[in-house]
Amino acid sequence: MDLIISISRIVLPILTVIIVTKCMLSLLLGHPSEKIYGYIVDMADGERHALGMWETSIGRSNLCDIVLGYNTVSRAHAVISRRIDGWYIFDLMSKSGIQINGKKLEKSATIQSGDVLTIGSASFKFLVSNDPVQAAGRKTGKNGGKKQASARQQPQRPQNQPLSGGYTHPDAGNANPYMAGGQPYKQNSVPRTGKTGDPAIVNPKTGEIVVLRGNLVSVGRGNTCDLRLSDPSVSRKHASLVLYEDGWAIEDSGSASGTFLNGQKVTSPQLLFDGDIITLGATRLSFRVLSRTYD
Amino acid sequence: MNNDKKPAYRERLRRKYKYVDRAFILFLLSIFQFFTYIPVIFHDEKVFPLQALMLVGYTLFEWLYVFVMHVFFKKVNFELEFIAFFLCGIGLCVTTSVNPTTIVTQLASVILGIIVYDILLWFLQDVNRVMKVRLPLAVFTLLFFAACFLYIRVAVGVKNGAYNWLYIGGVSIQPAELVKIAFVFVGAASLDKLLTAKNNYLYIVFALGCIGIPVLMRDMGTALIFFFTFIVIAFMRSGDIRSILFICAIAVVGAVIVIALKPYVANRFMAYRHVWENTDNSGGYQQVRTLIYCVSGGLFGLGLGNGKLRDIFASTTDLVFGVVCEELGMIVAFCIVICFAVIAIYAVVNSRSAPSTFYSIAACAAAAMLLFQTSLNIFGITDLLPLTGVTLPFVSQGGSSMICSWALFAFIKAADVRAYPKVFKNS
Repeated sequence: MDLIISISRIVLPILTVIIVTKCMLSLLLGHPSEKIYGYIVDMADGERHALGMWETSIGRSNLCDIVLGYNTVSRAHAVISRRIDGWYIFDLMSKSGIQINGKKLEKSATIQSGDVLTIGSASFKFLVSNDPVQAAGRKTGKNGGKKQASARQQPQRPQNQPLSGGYTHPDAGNANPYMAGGQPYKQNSVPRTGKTGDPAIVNPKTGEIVVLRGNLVSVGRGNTCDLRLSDPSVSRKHASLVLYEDGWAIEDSGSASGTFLNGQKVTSPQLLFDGDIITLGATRLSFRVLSRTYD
Repeated sequence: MNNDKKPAYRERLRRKYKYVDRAFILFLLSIFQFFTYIPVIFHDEKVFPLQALMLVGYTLFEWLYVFVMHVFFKKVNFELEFIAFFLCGIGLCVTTSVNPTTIVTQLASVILGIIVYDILLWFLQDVNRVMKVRLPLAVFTLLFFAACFLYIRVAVGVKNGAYNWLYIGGVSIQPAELVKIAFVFVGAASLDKLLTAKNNYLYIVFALGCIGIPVLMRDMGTALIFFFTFIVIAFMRSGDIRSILFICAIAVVGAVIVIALKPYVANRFMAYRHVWENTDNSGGYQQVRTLIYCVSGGLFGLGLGNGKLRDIFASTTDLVFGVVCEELGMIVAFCIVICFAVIAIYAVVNSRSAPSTFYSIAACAAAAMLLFQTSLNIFGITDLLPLTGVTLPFVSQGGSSMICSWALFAFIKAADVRAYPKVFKNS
């Protein structure tokens, strides 16, 4: 018995440290990374407010998740809620109320991607990716058996929608943005054929396109990159295009000159929408969803 | 580190630590428990077969629980459950080694706690369902708590200086422990982001009732825990520091009035920081011995059953942390404290990605309640705070406390989308 107690005096602290450390690391580091589920886009200046939480409060108060500097917006005006069966907007008894596509909201209502939300006197376009969680909810009948969308379809943005930073898409009005010409990419593994609805990277200058496949497409000057760019201002491993559940996103890979999305520096994974401009060094690329089959 | 590299680095870390190896942790837990069971089963030159059966059964139950939850309910994250199993295992061994007859009720409490944990986790997954029951639950809780107080006052009387023990069929129950579950539930549901100021006033009335009744019961520790949790919930809802400071100022005034009017409360404060002048009276008897025996255990402890603190009154309830320090050593005791601190950080980290504000508030409130209770227990017996006689969650002897601790873990777990693998499998 004394021997067992002597051994246990050494063994118990060691086992305790291992068990607690293992559980602690998993609890603190293993939680899901933050994602952007959608946006509300201010139709006046094109500013995009990310919806990165299941519930996002909107109002004039600094305590809200999205702070709007309009006098007609109440301090706590609304909450946009992402639920298993869809997206909802709640009016927090605001003075000026909320309108959805011009119709006054009583208390709460479901909203769809593309709806125009009028909060006070400001109008916002609500944009959301196809949500696999909600798709799963619909599949199990939690949304009244509505038609289920493709889980991996890239989120859509309405045409002529202004982008953050006042950018105008350079392809606007181009009847055939996929025309061949100029210097092609030195492409390693990314296919160049695609069908309608496929996400692709387009060089607006040359018209060259690269269809995105798989889960990860690395972009840079290096030989190991899936999408090679010959621009000397581009780092060897500049950025990555990553397929999240919500769609394709871009993230910087520690490049020297940085990666910019619609003129704003990318510091965390940013979901891509049709027509977004990606700037890597001196190279500008466009993210597009193909509108026709391309061979 | 370059800021641009942080997201990729964090993603790598997340993938690396997404899950713990269930079989590996259970294996380590089983070895740990084997070494703690031996001195409990064989001591005083006797063998305790019932205790052996119960303790081995507990370890087998851990394996069975994880197997069933993984295979039939597709759960993959068991970190919180492993921590709870670890703490419950220590509690079972310490209490059984001091008093072998307690094993049956204590083990039953653990299993009942786990059942409550899983039922609550299931119930919490639908926020609409939660919102529907919050008002009836608040009314029922206040009526139940008030009725218990009146019954204890009239029919039971004072036990250990407080009116907080109820006896049903030979089993003692602390109603305040069960009210803690409702306090977090109603608080989080009433102050959800989607609701209006009217709910704040209703919750203030509910909270005043829950804080006031323990004061009347002379259970100052529980009243303090309720008050601290109320502050956390109020801050989570409003984020307004000035309102919180205002509430605290009112509470300080209230506390001064209570100390002035209630001599038994004043007596506890008289002994605080003066325990070495009261080594042989109730003012400092337990604290002085706890401090001495904690140190005598050293880093590795004296071995389970070899301590002296176990002979002091309340060694398996209020002083259980001291017994762990003395018999299992400072390293194990420090890890227990780390567990509660990590759980509090985990609740805060998870609150941003929780599927609803309800989950965020409930998780932070439950974690704060556990952390504050742990602090009151440990700092109380080591004279860093006045001794209030609260239990150490999962470790101290007591069925109500055990069930409450498991239920609070359910609130913390519910904020993690990984808790509902079927619902949030793609989140």
